[in-house]
Amino acid sequence: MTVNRSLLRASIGLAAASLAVPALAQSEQDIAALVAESQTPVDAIATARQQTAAGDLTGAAATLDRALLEDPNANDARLLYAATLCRLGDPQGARIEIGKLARQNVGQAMFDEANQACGGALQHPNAPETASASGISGEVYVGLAYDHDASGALALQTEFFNSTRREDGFSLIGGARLAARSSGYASGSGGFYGGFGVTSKHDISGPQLDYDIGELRAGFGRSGGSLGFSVGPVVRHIRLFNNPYVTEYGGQSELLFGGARPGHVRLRFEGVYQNYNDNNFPGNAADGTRLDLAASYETRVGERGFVTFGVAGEFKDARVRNFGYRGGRAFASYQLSFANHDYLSLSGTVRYIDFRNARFVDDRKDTRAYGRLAYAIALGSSGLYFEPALTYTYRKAKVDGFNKLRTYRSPGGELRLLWKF
Amino acid sequence: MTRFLPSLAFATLAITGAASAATTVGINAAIRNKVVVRAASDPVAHPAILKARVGLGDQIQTATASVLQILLLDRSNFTVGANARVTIDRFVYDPNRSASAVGASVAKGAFRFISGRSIHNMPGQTAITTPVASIGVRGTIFEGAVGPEAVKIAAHEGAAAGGKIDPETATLIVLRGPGATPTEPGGAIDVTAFGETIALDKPGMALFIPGPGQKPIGPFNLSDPGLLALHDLLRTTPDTHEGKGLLDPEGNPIVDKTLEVLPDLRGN
Repeated sequence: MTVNRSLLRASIGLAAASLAVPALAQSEQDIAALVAESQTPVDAIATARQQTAAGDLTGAAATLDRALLEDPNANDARLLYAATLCRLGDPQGARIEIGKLARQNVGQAMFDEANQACGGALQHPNAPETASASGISGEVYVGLAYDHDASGALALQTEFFNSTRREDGFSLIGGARLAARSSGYASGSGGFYGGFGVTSKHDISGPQLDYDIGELRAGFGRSGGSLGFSVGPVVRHIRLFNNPYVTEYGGQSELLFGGARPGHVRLRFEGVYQNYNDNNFPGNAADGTRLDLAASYETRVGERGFVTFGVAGEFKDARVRNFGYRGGRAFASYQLSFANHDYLSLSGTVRYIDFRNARFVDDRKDTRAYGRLAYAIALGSSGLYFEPALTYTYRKAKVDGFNKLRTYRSPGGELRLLWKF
Repeated sequence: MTRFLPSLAFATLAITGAASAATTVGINAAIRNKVVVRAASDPVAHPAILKARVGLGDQIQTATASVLQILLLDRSNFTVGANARVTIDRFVYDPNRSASAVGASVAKGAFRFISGRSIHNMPGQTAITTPVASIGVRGTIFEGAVGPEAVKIAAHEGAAAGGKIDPETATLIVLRGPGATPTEPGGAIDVTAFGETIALDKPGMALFIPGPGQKPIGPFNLSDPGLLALHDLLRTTPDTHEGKGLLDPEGNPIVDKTLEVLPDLRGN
């Protein structure tokens, strides 16, 4: 009897198996289709909404989870994910996901949906008065800088009977950067961007080390999808020792490959004409075209680290040949963000310049380097930071002649109060 | 009905043994960074491929900052987080009855499980095991970590004090949901370690098992920093950069622009 029951069970099992084969194959096709329907953030959002409407909230959460693994910058998907977590009774998880959107472009309608799902308990990731939702971001800082051997920073000095002057200096520093993008720019359909930046340094004590740099740029581009680009004009003006020094005007363009992937390749080109003040370079001697082509790779290291490294080529022609140069540089940076919004950043550039040769002029080749190590302490979650930093500036010139330029080595430090928005 | 289950399991497993297609338990639904798979029939590890089939007994191994999401045939989701080694070692699915059961073992690393609806129709059959605990699933979302990351998070929560901690096998488990809502029943898991079973039935509740032969510590509510640390192993964070600016390494105009003046312009 037992044998008969076992045979009966086996028979039922085999019968179930024969029915299950096509059903399992169908299941495999179904899940493959589900993955295919959530390959882009837009598709994933649509699929998750369908799942939610069908009462499959856990399925919707998994779909959005998947989309965010593929594209961590899919902010709308993250907002809907937060809404779904709240609907699943996980407001803590929702709050953490919203917190990750600090200083990101956050669509108001999607945030409102998430906030409603969470019973109005969510705090907007950006301060209400900031305009990140409309595509405006930037930073402002003021601070104090110390430079060892400040006098050599801007003035080239010769090693001539120990006549060089070394004098430390303190300076006030300040800067601002603002970038604005139309909604189409960030969404991938294309749109306009514009921005400006200023950098300023003025001495408090020690040798004069004053400069001011202002930059305006605008153009058309897009940042969404796997290929981003931008192209537009740029104008830059530099003042030195409170006098006009040089004005640059021309264009910039950029290509970003793999914009939504963990690793990005960025190609950046800038071509400008440099118009120097005649008082500094009589006869427009240094005026000419400057071209700069940079390629960089940017990727995550761990979940909170971000590294950039790249190389660039530089070409400058001038009316008087030896003011022109050919050169290149290598650069790298690393930033590690912490859960409390603090971050550590380390960056550096090494630049090599071979000034063009001319009759009766010594050949000159420069190696220049700059490094900066900073730790930013978040003052609350509004984007305000206190940022102490160590800096190091280096310049070595190899000159084939009697007037050998002094090698410049300047360790320094900065204290910045910084607001990112 | 439970007497019928072995037959049903036999049916599914019979298919598993009969044809390679039937060994499939799911597909790779999302891959982040470095994930390798070692099939039960092939000891050589191969990189995981998006949408490729996942077979019964496949061993999945992830590197740092790497994640694999497996979408199982019953629409359960198993996320294998950073530095993990996981095997799906049991899978029973009857699509006609919409009933399923999953068994997986996590040797190390972070993991997350979202059960499909069909698991409700085969109650008490789904379990995730770690070296020191067994997690019985009652239809739910939960996540956890095995190894040093679990110890680190538990230490932050004050749950790692006392007892002998084994950094290789220590396990942290936290229930994420769903909470009881009008549309979804409340989820729950039963965690068994060293002969003691503790039920977690509210989102945010966590347990820490310090090592073999150790009773679970908790339950306690996992704090935001603790959950964020677990998030870092399983999920993503948006990039904080937007083109030139934050991470621009070319920040010194003395190095990057032709700013210096010639000796005769300022003198020495």
